[in-house]
Amino acid sequence: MQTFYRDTGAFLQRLNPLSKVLAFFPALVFVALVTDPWTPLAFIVLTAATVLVLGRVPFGYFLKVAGPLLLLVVGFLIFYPFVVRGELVAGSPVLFTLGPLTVYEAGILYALATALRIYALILLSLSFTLTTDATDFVRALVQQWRLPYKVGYGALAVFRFVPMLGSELAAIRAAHRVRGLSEGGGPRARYEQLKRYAVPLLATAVRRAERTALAMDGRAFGAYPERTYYRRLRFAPRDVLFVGGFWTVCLLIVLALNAAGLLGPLVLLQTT
Amino acid sequence: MIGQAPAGRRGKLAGWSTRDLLVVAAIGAALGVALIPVTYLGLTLMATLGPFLYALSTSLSRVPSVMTMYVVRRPGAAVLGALVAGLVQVPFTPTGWVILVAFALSGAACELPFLLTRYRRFGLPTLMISGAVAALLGLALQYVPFGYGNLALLVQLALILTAAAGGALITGGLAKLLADALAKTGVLSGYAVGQKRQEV
Amino acid sequence: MSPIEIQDLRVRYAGRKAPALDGVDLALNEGETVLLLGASGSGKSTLALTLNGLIPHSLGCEMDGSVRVAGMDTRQTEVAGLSQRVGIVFQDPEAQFVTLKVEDEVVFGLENLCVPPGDMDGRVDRALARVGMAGHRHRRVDALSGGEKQRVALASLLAMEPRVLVFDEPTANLDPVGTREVFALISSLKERGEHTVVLIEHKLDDLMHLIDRVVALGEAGEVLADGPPRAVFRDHADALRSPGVWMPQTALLAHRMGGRGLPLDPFPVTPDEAERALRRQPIPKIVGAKRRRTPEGPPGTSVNGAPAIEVRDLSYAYGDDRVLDSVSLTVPRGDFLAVVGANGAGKTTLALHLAGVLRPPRDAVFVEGRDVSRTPARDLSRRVGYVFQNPEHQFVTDSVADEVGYGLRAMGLPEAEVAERTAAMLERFGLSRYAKANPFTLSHGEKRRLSVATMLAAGQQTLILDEPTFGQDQKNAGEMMALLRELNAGGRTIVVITHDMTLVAEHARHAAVMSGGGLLFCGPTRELFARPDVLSRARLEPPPLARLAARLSRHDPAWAGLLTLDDVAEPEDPRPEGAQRRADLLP
Repeated sequence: MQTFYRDTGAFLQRLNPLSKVLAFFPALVFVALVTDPWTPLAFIVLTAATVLVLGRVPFGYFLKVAGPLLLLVVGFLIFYPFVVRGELVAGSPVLFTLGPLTVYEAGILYALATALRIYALILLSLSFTLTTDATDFVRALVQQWRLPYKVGYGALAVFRFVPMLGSELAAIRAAHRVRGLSEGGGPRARYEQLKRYAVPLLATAVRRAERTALAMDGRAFGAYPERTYYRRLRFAPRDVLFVGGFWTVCLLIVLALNAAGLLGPLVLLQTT
Repeated sequence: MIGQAPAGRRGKLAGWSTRDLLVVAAIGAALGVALIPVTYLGLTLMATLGPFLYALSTSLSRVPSVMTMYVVRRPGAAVLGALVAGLVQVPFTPTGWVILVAFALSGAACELPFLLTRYRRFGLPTLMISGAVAALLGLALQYVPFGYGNLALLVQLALILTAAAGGALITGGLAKLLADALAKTGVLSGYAVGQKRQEV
Repeated sequence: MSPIEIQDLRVRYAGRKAPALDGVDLALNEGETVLLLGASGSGKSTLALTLNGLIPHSLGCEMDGSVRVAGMDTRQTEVAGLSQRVGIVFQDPEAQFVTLKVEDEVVFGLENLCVPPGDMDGRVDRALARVGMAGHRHRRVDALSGGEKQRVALASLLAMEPRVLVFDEPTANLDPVGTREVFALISSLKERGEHTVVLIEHKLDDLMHLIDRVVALGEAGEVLADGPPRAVFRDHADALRSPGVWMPQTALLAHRMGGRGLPLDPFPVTPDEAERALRRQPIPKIVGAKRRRTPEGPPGTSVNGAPAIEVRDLSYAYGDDRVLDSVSLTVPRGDFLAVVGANGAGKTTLALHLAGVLRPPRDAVFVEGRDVSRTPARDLSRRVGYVFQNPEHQFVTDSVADEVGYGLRAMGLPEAEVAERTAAMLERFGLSRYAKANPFTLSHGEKRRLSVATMLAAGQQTLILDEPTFGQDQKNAGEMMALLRELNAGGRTIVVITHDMTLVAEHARHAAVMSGGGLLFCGPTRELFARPDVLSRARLEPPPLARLAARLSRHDPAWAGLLTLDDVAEPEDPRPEGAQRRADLLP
């Protein structure tokens, strides 16, 4: 299975994973609450630039991952105008009618704003995935944000199960084919099929979990309330620089949009 | 040299053995991997058919929480199962750490009904209530960013009902079916769900 | 003080009536290397888990009696303290890692013990150097070979500086290359003499020179024999043989020679000792007239005269990886073919093409004369059965009877006939009493038998098995091979992928050697073992007895050509004429 992480050794990849969470979090919350299309658009550009410049993620690769997600925007544009609440579009010019459904210009605008907002949220999340080693993220959560180490290392141990589960699934499918089993059918057949795959997969995972637990206990896992760490994850000056810098840029964008009169009211402050 | 760390005080999750921890994590991981396509499906559904099917697909993604709770029956199992199911998806889906937060929250929501029964009831009704409660809370969280508040009122009502029913049937029902099928293989003989089937 | 002292130890798992261990008394001596033997289910692994306190601390079971590690009662000592005295390397190299990198893995135990980070560096370096992995500190665990994984597993224990090391079937999941690595590692531990070693293993001949003491457990979890290897294998052979305890081939050979009135003194337990003892006395006739008992079976009942399987110039690439490189191969009907080679040589990929799991290109693979690429999957699955390495993967129903009946129902047979044929199959494979059981609850050997039964239920004439004895004990492996020979004698074509060269020598009529995706050799098994060039290129070794015989034959040509124990003449053996076949009659 392909992970999205690109270890280019660039600035973003060398950051503490948590500083990326800190930097992006306010932006995510803010974008989730805006109602105009311009703010998400600005954040889409900012995020793409950050990933491409500071993360040195190859442009082609970025397009390959981020491109298909644009379908989402298109989907929203098609679906949303038909179901939007009546009073929001009252008085807006009618674009066209399709049987009992009427599409207003305001409906399209709402759809566009919502679609861009969701795309901006996804891109902000994607920038983390593209530049962060998931195991380092777990370590940082354990060491710095007090995720109980038992949970963190339990999760790390089963990270190793993922490729095993993938190859097991392939083996199970092949084994079923040898038995002359075909896929597809009605809901009942679907459930039977799900069960035939899931049960051996889960059984293998549970047994392996029990063996791994013994190997971990045999190396004193959970012996003490705390443990020491060979590799200590900390916030370095570059992390402070990045978080501060990113927040500043975000703030400047918001101020600029506001000055240009493009920033719409935030959802929570809306009075409709 | 015998370890020189402060002894005595028990750590967090004191009641959890490594084995329980890993079994919950393994079920979470296995289902988490299986749910990767569902996460993508959810994104596409959101794009094409809208919030109804999306609500159903998130019900699928809560199966690990309810299932791990049903299997090990310990406080925290639903949150833990959800956390791991979310965590294994981090490297494979574009949603990043956000999915982790989403899973953790929905795990906590699934945990709630069990907490309220003081972890004494694990029958199908409790599992279904857990799934429905989590689906409704999840829907509430999506209301603002996804702009559901702007939908026609009838559509909103239908959405709420779909989420509740989907949560009860898909999350609660499937979690029980899968766990019972797994228990029949004998690998869960160390847990309450597998006890009555023990042979030899 | 004895590093480990066990008194009247009894362990019983929850939900089981019979105890796993029943009254074990054992005191290990400082610095000795102990081989722990026992039949399947005799509690070897259970005993290993009591040595560092995982029983009773981590696994819920009843434990009576006492285990003392360096004088400390394990019941009263926390696993953390015990983990610095006793470390266990487990069978499955995959299941004992927690992190993704070698370095993280080695520090894991130290971190749990709250060792100050500044002290870790030196301990990591020393531990990795000790297992010959010094330069691999920053590698990813999943990029390591099986043998390297076991070395890292040991290093992660050595970093915690235990005095006792336990190896629980460390090579059971490894290919021959990995097995040699692990044995070399145990040998270097022995040379340094700093550790007391307890070893559970059944590939014995290449190991016996390291062993100071053998402890054998019986079926009821009691100590069957305990002493120096020579005494145990010389004096307790019958007691060991009946429950199916694995013994070195060398010792079995010595017993057979003794039975011919040629007792060897001193009784040999290592190949070197056997060579010395056997060179001292001239032996009239060693290789028996009956030679090998390879079953020939009746000639295949062929309709169109086509071979069971024919492969013509088959290549296969996975990405940029050329996994199969123009392989051509013919398997006659009724043959017993072994496909051998190191891990990654392409054996399984080839086999998957034969069963149509991987779709071959046109005119590349023929089964009973039909082009696999043009044969519908359902039709093919009635001609070729394929038994996967993990039998569980093939289970598709909730009961043993339904498993067997599944293929019959798919053929559209009436229910009465399905029931009748299913019952007959279960009877034949010794599974009748489990008819209603869930397939997953069977023992490992029974699961394997069931998967063979399901693959033959529809009357398949060709059976392909991927590692039918992998990870199994000797008794189960022996039963499986006996079953395959019986099927072969009944006319079925058997293709086996295996690492076990003793199995090849004893059972296969032909051998195909894969290396780097190409077919290096295909011919009679006996010819393969006469080709050291082929074997070394494919990184294979003849079975232990064949190697001994090769060394002896330089001085006494009477030893030439001996491959297995069955080749040794037993003049008093009144075997019927039909069982005596000569290898040179083979096709």
